[in-house]
Amino acid sequence: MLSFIGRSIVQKMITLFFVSVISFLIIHLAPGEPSQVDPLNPKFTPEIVERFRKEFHLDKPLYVQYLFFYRGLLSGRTVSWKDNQPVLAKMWERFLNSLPLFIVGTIITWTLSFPIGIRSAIFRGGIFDRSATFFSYFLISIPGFFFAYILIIFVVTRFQVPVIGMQTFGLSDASTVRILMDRVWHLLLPSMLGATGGIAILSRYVRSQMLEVEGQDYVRTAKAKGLSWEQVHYKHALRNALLPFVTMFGLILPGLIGGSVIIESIFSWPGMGRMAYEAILARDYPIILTVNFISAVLVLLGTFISDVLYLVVDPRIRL
Amino acid sequence: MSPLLSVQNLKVYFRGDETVARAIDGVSYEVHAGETVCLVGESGCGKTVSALTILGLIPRPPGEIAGGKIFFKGRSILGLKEEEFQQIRGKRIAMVFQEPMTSLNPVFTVGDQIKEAIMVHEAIADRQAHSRCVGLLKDVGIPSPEERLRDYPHQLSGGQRQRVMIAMALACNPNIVIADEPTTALDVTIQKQILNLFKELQKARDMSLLYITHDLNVVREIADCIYVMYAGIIVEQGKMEDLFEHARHPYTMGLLASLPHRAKRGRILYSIPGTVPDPAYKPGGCPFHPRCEHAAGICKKEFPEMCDYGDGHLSRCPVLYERTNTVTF
Repeated sequence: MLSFIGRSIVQKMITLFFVSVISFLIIHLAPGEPSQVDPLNPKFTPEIVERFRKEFHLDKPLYVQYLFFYRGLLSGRTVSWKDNQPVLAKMWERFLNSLPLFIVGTIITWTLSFPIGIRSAIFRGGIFDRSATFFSYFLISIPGFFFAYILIIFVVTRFQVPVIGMQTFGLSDASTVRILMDRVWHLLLPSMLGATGGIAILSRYVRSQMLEVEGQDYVRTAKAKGLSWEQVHYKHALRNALLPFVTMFGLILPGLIGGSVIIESIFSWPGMGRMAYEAILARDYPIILTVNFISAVLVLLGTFISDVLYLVVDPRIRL
Repeated sequence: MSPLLSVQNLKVYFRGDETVARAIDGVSYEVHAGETVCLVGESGCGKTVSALTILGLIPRPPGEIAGGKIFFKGRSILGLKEEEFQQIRGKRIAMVFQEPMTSLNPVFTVGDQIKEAIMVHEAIADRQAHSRCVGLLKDVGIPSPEERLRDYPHQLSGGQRQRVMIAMALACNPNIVIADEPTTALDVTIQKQILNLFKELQKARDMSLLYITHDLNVVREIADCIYVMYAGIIVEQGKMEDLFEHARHPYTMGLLASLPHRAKRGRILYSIPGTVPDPAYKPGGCPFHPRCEHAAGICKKEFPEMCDYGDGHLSRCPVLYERTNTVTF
């Protein structure tokens, strides 16, 4: 166990190194650099562009830039090229904004997908299964931004609740309950929208996993023992069908930092996804690369967690 | 004496999109108390389906019970509700499956799975159930049962897993154990051990055994009565010695002739020509006629009736029946 942990940490450090090199290269090889974002601006004289390039080491060879950047990142001194703010503090602020969206969305996704998928599998071919299948494909096919606008129109005209942004302006004098409810209303629609696609896909996964397990010999053995319907399906079948989802559970971790660009843009939600998107448009390399690096760390951490979880839940796996 | 289990004219069909596979097409057999009955036949002849039907484990749809009756202790069990069936499964009629490698749940310990089989039918304390598990594992010949109970299925060998399956089947002292090719997936040496275990347990516990197999050597070891199945029907039935000495149906004769034997050393082993018909497209008349060397014109047209040779020996071949009678008289 300990040696497994040690080995996988070393492996993941090596992976991380290559990720950092490759992402650095991709960003820098992409056309357009910060100094050329606004070439028609009369204030950007060649001298100023040159000064700018010097100041941010853009005139140095790539490997030197690489070293400069990661030295800055690891010592926490990286600043955004756009507004000179420290990157990590900026990200932390945005992260706190995205977090509630992520948590509520994930909870909705996981709590709805499993009952839907399991029920579809047990009563396959029935009314419930067929309507669940229809709605899954419906939700997968419909473009998210389009669906979002339809929902916004519906909710706003029907219930007259605020949906855009994180909160209503000018509520600071209102009672705590009012403020809280306002936050909840703002949170509800974007997180539900974020969850729909997840529910549609995850419930299909659950269904196919469950169907596969239902056909296994040990489920027949459980029936032959005289176990009740619930014990056969929810104990013997489900326990096995859940194993692959333990892996997925570790992999939702990167979603923490990714956020959702589309949903955050539609709802003017000042979250991570939007920040990253804006940074890309501004060629703000430090922010892009930091977001990239941290998501790589989270992906590796997620796979590590799912490996360890697998070890705990599946008795056949010994390391 | 009325039989413990009696299957009467059972018909089980599987409906496909366009075809109906008549997996079992009118099968009758009886199992008396303390008796070992063997169902013999090639793969795909409906042996397993008939066993699963007894326990109500045929998936419906696509499966469909098209007719017949099953009586257990004089009570019709075919139309029972699911909850009532659960009272019988494992407690009165238990089953041992063909594949020990996949028939145990990989995420629960052996002990949990045996204990569960006991506790679902009997209200006893956890500790009592545990000591009964230890006893069961001892009975099926597993060394150091205390430790094995804590093992997961993947830690046991195939033979040990099958012993665990047997222990699980015996957990509630059932009246009948249905064993569906329990030795097929095992090594030859282990097969012999498991077979002997069945013999011992059946004698010691005075239970009935419905043993499903395609292996005539196994049948010779344990059977009291034999039912030979072909393409969803019983073609011959009778006492074990009688059937082995005087097989009356061409199919049984073919099966016996294809057994390797010391006297046949050096000669090419006999095999019945042709293959088992697809249950969705069975030949008319006698289903065996395309492969039968005694086939006459009538075999293609008329479904053969059972011919009685006395002492419970029945064979579904009127052609040979008439021939025997003309020779005798």
